[in-house]
Amino acid sequence: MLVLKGLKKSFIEPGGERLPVLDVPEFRLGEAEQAVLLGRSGCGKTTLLHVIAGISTPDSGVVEIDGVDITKLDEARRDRIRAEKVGYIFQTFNLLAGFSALENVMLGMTFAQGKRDERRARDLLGRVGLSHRLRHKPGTLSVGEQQRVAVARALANRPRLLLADEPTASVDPKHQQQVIDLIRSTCREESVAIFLVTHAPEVASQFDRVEHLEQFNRVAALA
Amino acid sequence: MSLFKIAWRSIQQRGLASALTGLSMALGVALVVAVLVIHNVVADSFQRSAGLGYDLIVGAKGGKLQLVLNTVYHLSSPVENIPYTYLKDFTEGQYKEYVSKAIPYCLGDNYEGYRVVATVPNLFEDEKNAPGQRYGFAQGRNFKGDAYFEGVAGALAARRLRLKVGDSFRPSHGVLDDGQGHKHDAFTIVGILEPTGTPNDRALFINMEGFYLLDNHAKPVPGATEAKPTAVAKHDDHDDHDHDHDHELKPLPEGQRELTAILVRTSSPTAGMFLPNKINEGQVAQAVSPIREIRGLFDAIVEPIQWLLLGLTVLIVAVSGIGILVSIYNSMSERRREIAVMRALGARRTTVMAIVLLESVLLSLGGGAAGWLLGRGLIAALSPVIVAQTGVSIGFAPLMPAELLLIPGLVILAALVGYLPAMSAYRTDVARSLASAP
Repeated sequence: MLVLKGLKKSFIEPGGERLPVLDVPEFRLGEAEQAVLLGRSGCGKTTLLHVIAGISTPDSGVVEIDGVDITKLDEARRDRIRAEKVGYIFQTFNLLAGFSALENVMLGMTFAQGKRDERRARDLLGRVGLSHRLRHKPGTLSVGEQQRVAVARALANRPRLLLADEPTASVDPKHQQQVIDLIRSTCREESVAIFLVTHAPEVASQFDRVEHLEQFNRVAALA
Repeated sequence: MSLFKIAWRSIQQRGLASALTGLSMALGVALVVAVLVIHNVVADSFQRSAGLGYDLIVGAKGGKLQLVLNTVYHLSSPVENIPYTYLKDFTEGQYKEYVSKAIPYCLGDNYEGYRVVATVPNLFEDEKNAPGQRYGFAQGRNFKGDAYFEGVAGALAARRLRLKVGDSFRPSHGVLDDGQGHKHDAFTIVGILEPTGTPNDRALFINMEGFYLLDNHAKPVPGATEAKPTAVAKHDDHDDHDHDHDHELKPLPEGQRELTAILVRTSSPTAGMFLPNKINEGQVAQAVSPIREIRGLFDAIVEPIQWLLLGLTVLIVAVSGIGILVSIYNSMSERRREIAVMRALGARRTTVMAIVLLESVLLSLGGGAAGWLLGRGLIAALSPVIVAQTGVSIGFAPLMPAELLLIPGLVILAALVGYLPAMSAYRTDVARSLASAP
């Protein structure tokens, strides 16, 4: 489902020096496989997800999603792949304040080429336990409810891969387990592969496959 | 969810700013619509009623435009007089072959500010006040030629002065109601004209024979006696003048009569070309084409002013457009993260750009639509004032092509003013914006 090969990414510092942030020799994630990348904050986990999602471009290397190397595609095609094959859960949910829960879920559908399926959006919100909160705006939802809307939104376009960036970081410890369970069970039902990054060992311990950032990313190992 | 809905949600989110921006656009468009409609209707109505169905206005030599404004529009002050006998040149004399109708006008009196026109009953009998229209009476009938102190009232004048059939009124000398004019004998209203949409709606029409018998209306002629000795003798016996005196009166001798103007309908288009030259070659009077004079007035003065007004109002719309630009552009910094989220969900750069442009278009068209309604409402509200001031009826003005041009015009304006914030959205650095604090 996901293949990373020789992936390198660096940033140019204000002084003009190149600062390496990613050096991933190889990584493979199978169909519907669920893996977690564990590592401390500030070591390039979010940058890695951005590169996988095609939001940022790597300096070199291969990012293959469902057999397509997105580094070879122009931006518009990468956008298409992201809309149709990748779901993204942000650390801070990033729900749009002016839109209801249902509209936030349907927002992702707007940017994909498929039809805008309100029934699926309702179904997804029902599955995350929010069928009674469809018309509520994010400001009127609890933190846990907001994260559940974010999960539903990420799955709206039936993606093949779900990228989750510290999905429990903004949720209180009591609800962290619920969020992880929700993501894992929903993805299992939808046969979606998960690549989740976290700094929390208790979150990582729930996954069968755990990658450690220091082994995964050579730059992190050097740091 | 459509891009329109996303753009609309964004407008809703900035409710107050959006409402104020839309209102600014609405006011600008309302002014454009008002100027356009009033210009069009007034120009059309002025020119349509310019001749009241007549080809020429004959009056004393002098200001041509003044003659038309005074005779047709009941504006300005009367010109000098011409001899009554000159009318015979049109009815039985040298110009007869060129003329199918000649109506004499005597002006110079008013009743409470409304012009009093002394004329002949024939004016209302078979003449059209404009193409396809005939004078009709809402109440009563036309005044009779042998009933010297009868008159009829224009629709607006009757309404404003609360005159009805059977009422009497006493014209004052002079065209302005300054309270200084001598009060004449009373005339009885025998008919109220139906509205014509012409300046005649705000005038009172009296029998010319009665007019001549009023004080100071007889031309001083050496050796001539007082115009209406019999009437005067009878009037001296009474304080009020509300009585029937027709049976005792004799018409004023022609030698003591004068006219302000003669409305002439020519017998043929060719006659219409020859007759003015013939009249103007003489020493007595001049003939002017009311339509040509009014068109000249519009071309020389009214039209440039209207264009200037239109230019100013378009400028106001442009300023309102800049308001949209400022409103959306200012919101871009706080919406950067939202745009980044949309991009992360798969929206293309062009898609977020389109959303911002749509926002600008919605604000512009929404404000424009409200402005159109406001403008039309404004015109409807001002219509009675315009009728009262000019006698020109606006009524329901049909949709003009220029108004339809507002739609593409506003879309283009919205695209222009939305371009800058749209480009800002287009250039949003997704990774950096997502990394920034929410």
